Amino acid sequence: MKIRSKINLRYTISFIFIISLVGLFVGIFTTASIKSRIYSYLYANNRARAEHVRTFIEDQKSTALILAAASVYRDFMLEPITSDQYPAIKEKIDKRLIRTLETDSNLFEALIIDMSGKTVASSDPTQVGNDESRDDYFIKGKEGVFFKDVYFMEPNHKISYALAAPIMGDDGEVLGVSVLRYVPDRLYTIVQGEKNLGNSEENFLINNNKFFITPSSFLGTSVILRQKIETKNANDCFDPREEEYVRKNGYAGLVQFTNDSQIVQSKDYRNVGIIGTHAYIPETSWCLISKVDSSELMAFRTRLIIIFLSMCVLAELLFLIVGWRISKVISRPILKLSEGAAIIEKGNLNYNIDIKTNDEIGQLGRSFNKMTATLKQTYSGIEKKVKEQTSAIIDQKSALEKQQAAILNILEDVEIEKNKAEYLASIVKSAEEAVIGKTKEGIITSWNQGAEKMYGYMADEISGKSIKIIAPPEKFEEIDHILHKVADGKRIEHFATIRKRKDGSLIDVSISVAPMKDSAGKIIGVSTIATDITKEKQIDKAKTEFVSLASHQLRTPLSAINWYAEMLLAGDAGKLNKEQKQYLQEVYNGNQRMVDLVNSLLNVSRIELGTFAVEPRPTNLVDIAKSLLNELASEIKEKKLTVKNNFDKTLPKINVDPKLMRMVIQNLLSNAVKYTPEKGKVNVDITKQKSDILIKVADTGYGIPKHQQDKIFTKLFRADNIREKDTEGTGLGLYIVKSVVEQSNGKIWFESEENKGTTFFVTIPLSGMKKKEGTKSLN
Amino acid sequence: MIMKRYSILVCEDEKPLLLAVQAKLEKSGFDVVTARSVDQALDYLRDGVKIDVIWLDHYLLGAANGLDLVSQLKAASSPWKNIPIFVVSNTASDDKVRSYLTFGVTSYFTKADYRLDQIIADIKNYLPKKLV
Repeated sequence: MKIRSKINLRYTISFIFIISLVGLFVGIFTTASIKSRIYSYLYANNRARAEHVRTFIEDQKSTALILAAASVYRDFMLEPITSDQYPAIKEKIDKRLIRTLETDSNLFEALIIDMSGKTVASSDPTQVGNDESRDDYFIKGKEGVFFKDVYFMEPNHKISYALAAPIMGDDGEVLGVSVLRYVPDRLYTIVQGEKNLGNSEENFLINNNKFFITPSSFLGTSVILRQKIETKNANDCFDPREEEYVRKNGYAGLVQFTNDSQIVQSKDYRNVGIIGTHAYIPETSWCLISKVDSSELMAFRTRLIIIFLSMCVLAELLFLIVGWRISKVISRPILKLSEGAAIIEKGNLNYNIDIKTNDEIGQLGRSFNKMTATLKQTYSGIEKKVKEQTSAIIDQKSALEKQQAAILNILEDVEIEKNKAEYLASIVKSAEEAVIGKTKEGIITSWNQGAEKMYGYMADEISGKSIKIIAPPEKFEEIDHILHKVADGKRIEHFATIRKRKDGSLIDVSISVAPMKDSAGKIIGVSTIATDITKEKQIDKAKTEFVSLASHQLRTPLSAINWYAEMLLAGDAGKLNKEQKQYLQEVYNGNQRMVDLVNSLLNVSRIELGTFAVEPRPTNLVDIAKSLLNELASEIKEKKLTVKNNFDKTLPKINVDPKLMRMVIQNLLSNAVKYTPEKGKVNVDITKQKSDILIKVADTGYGIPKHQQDKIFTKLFRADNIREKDTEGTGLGLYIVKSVVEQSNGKIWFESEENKGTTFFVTIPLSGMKKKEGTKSLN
Repeated sequence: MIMKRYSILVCEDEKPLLLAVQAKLEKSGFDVVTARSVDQALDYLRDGVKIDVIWLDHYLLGAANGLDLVSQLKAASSPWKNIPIFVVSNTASDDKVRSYLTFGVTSYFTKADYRLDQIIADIKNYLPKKLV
């Protein structure tokens, strides 16, 4: 068995044993404690309710007494019916009886009986005249306050109880009886009250004959005065000794007197096992029984045990996990040690046992490593010597073989190479291009006819001189730089620069420079091929200058047309009619397009001449986009486009030329608006990425046809599908945008599908644009 | 209340443009004096014509251009150095704009990109509302 499993098993078994033991004790103690708490609750609750019932009855008795003692009762009883005062007093007493009824909702009749037993007044006038002479509340009520136990009242079988008190004259003579009849609702409430021991808790009253007088929780009100019970509680309660004790002393000390806990475990009237207690109520000779089903108490105990058991299981699980982790920590280094030992045993002396702990196991690991290292040193000493001797023998043999082969090869190659070299040399010699060989330091070593023609120097007069002889002084640094690069093994291709002829005139050349290497790859010199590009340069320059000049010259007449059209439209030369105004507006609009075209052409020429300036300053791209969307608002509204934007709220300001960025975003946005049909959507996102800011403009527009997507950034190009549509455009916008973005080390690309839409992506590095001096800015 | 009419010196070599500017400025309540060369402009000033503001094109007739005029007017000893100058030209190269602004002109407009009433509104906004 592994160490880990051993540790785990032992601990688990002892843990389970301890937990079980603890569980057993806790179970026993909690059960006992719960039982005693429930008993004492049951007892206290029963006695408290009984006291409440007693007080309630005492209160009602005193209410009856106080009422009967009122002077208006006495006056009424003393006034003869024949007297003139009688009707007034009768009215007064009737009112009084009705008012009495209003003081207690359980009171349903207040009446007065005269000494002949006849009802003479009542809150219920239909009762007046009834003969009550045989009723015990008349008979006993004459003698003093009397509580009439719960009974069925005739004729409606209403369950009620009554209180009677004598009405007395000034000398203590009895004049009549005042009776108050109640329904026992409040008594029910007092007895039943709130349940605290569970659903099966029940409190009810029985009378002297052991009949229910308050409802049973299980059988309802139908049991009242109809069902008799013969349970242990009921019998104990009416034990004469207990009755007598309570009548004299109340409930205190009863436990000692009866010599038991007063808690009974038995069966109730349903024949269900219960735990219960009782209290005798002497005032009315009732008994209050309180009980609860024993099964409910057991359920409570079972629930407690389940909670405890599940906690034990949880604790055990936790213990297992922790134990597993701990044992892993202990056993891992041991395992490593044993694995390491096995590897080393197989002969791998380079293996290092990786134990970083500072305990005994760590020490063991380190000693192991030391031992292995010593072993390795000893071994390698022997091995090295054997190896050295073997390889010396092999080397000697192969060197001999190689020498032989090489000699044979050389003899063959010399003839071929000789012919090849002569052939190549003759091509180079007669080439149109200047082909120049020089040392790594720039000393000219070869100079062909092309070079002689281009620079005016003869081969023999320039050979051995520095290459700088054919450069104007401002290009010396450039030459050093080129030589340095080539010496590093790099090539330079089609580099446009300026060189100087022998007569001092300057010449535009395109040069390609490459290192010359020997067969071993070592750089032994530098070769340069130069082409005269004066003509191309001139044509290019003439072309762009033409555009630039033409644009300037065009702007003056365009301004004149603009301004005059503006003045005419403003009515400066008299009011125009509607038609005139419309035509003139067309002239004005057409001219504006021309101005835009000229501005674009100027921008293109500046880009191509390299004369545009870049003036970076901290700029917020979102502000630019917002202001551009504002400018486009009327067009967006007119085409009913939905424009959504997602602008990064935390977008940092970046160092870019705001004019250039404005031009980039303006072109993307106006393209999206222009080339999206009515009711389309345009989404503008500007978000920060790792090292750049991404501008994304997506539309649901006409799209770019697949076969023309590669031409979209070409100057003056407009896709077929939009040329057919009624849209204006110069075909210069995206060309300018691409030039500006790439000048800023950014990237531009797009995704597009015809009639579905186009998404343009532009990234601008967070580092911003580099400043560039220029004579013109782009408009 | 009667507003004082401002007098403006317009320097522009292109006749059609000059006429348009003059007409629009007069409509807008200016007294207009026109010049097509730097010398002509300086003559007016030296003759003591009271000028409140100058409208200036870069290219003018003759060898001297707008920049030459500005360098003289804005010189430390110049009696006219406080006259605001608005340059309205089509040659919007950055270095020229920078030179003009360095000399202290008030504003620079590219003709083709602005309407006359925009430029005039800017000039009017700049001038204090003087009352007679």
